[in-house]
Amino acid sequence: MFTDEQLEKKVQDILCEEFELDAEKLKPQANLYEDLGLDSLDAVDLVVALEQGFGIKLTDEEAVRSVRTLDDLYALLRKIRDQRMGS
Amino acid sequence: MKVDNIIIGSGISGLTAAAILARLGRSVAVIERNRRVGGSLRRFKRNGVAFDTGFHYTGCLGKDDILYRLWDYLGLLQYLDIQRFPDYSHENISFFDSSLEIPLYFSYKRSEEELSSLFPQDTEKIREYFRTVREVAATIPFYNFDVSLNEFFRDYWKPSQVPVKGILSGISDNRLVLALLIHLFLYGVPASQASLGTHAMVAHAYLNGAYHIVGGGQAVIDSYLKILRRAGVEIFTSMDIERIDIKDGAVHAVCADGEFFRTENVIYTGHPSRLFDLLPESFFRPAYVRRLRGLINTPSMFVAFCSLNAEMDDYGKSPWINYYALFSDEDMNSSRHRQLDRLPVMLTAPSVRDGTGKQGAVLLRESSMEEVLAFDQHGEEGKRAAGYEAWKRREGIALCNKANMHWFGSDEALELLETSSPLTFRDELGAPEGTVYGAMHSINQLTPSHMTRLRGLYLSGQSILMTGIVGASLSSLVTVGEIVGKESLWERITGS
Ligand SMILES: Cc1cc2nc3c(=O)[nH]c(=O)nc-3n(C[C@H](O)[C@H](O)[C@H](O)COP(=O)(O)OP(=O)(O)OC[C@H]3O[C@@H](n4cnc5c(N)ncnc54)[C@H](O)[C@@H]3O)c2cc1C
Repeated sequence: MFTDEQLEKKVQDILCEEFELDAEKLKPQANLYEDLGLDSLDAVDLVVALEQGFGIKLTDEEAVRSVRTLDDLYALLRKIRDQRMGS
Repeated sequence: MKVDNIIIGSGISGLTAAAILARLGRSVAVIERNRRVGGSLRRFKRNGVAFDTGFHYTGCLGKDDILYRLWDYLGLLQYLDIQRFPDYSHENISFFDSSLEIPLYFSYKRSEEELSSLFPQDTEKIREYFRTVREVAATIPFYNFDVSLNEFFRDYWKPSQVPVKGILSGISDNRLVLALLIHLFLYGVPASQASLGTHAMVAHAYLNGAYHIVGGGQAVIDSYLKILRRAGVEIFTSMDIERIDIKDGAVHAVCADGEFFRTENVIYTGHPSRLFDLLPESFFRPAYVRRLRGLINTPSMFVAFCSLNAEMDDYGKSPWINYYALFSDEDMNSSRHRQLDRLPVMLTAPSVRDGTGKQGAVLLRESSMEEVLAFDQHGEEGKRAAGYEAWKRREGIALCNKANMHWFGSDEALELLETSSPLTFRDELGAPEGTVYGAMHSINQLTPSHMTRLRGLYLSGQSILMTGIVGASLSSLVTVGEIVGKESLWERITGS
């Protein structure tokens, strides 16, 4: 299981390597779309990359769609991690 | 040369995209690498018998169905003789190890009745299956013109996580499960990975009626060529694309065989994993490149094209019935490592239906590159190692013998004329691994979008929306919709 820091680091690695984003821009408040320049097509690839990277399924579309900032994304992934630990 | 839209590939998806754009008055050119137009739709002849490669029957050609409406809009219907399968026709599911034969009719009502009478203890389950497929189909705009196309596509990228097998649990006789899931053959996804949404999309089309076109896939190609020529669409065959030029973040031109086509839009209908042969992959996000390159494909096939030594009637068989033979413990989880002699076989005879092909029948079974690896010369197209022809003939005869024994009770009903292997499909259709239905539309894989990051570059074809004649045609309807406006195009075609 990932600690919070490991989880955030992994998301950042994915964004740097798979989306060629600048590591410096990856602030928690950064908006994925407005600040980091992802678009709706990228969002699909991001879902796939996160699913593969974390070995999870992001099935809750509403939750995925409501993610705007990196912090939102961390929170969603933490929630999924905690649910898995609980089950 | 300057043209507003270039279509890469001339299968049914490429022809459809070109025809819709031309109908809207746009300038279009089609570039095809093969020497012949039509991709999987092409027909060929051996000993005077005509054979279809990838078009044995289709759904959605009733007067209120989407493919009929699309072809009507394009002006194709005047050239096509569409025949509805008669009421007695069906998929016939039989078993190598059991004498039971199960008919799955091209009608919900009839299928439900017949299956319930064969499996009375499972009546409830049978009813539930058909009801569920129907309900899901009613949420798909192609089957229910009142559903908003935009709403549907908002969620389409994410396949429903509901496995189709779920609604069949509780059925004790596996033969019934196999009959209900027979449509898996038509889109090449293992049962365990098939989603209810995708399955319903395919199954509904056939449970609503099946259709034959006189002259087969070739008749469809020829009618498309008529309307495209009249609209002044240029079609280049045997043309290899060197690259798609990018300027200021948008498509600028296509370079092919030394020709330079200045263009605004490119619709690529080849396999998505081969897209980066034509474009600098550095333009795209690594995650995207990796996803398209890594798409898991539907299996390939080994096909035996045979002549029939007597009328099908004489053997008590009908060309309006598609015959399937399986083992009763088959799980439809076609893995690439399965014993060859346990694979399901399908027998179909499209050209006998209208007499255009005299007496010819086609036998199909799954196959993979592993089977033919030894004959592949460094992956070079058309080059085969010694022994390939002999191997194909041997496999073809084995398949014929099996079919003769199983269906005809005679060892000389079918006689082998020609075969196709995964290498044939790979090289003739540009299909990686010889995949016949393109990338899988399954629970485990997201379907690539019609849109790309590169302005002016769009994707279409069987790997994008859905496979099959219907799937590939609709894929282009949606792709062209992205260029010209989805909702207004939809309105013109469906009248709603
Ligand atoms: C054996 C078999 C049986 C089938 N049976 C049925 C059936 O009964 N009913 C049904 O509905 N469907 C059936 N299908 C599926 C159906 O034929 C296909 O889903 C559909 O025809 C695919 O159309 P397409 O345009 O996407 O691809 P294709 O028909 O494969 O056409 C793609 C074209 O693009 C060209 N191309 C690719 N890359 C390039 C490039 N870089 N430059 C230029 N040209 C390029 C190829 O040469 C090809 O001509 C069958 C398929 C097979 C193989």
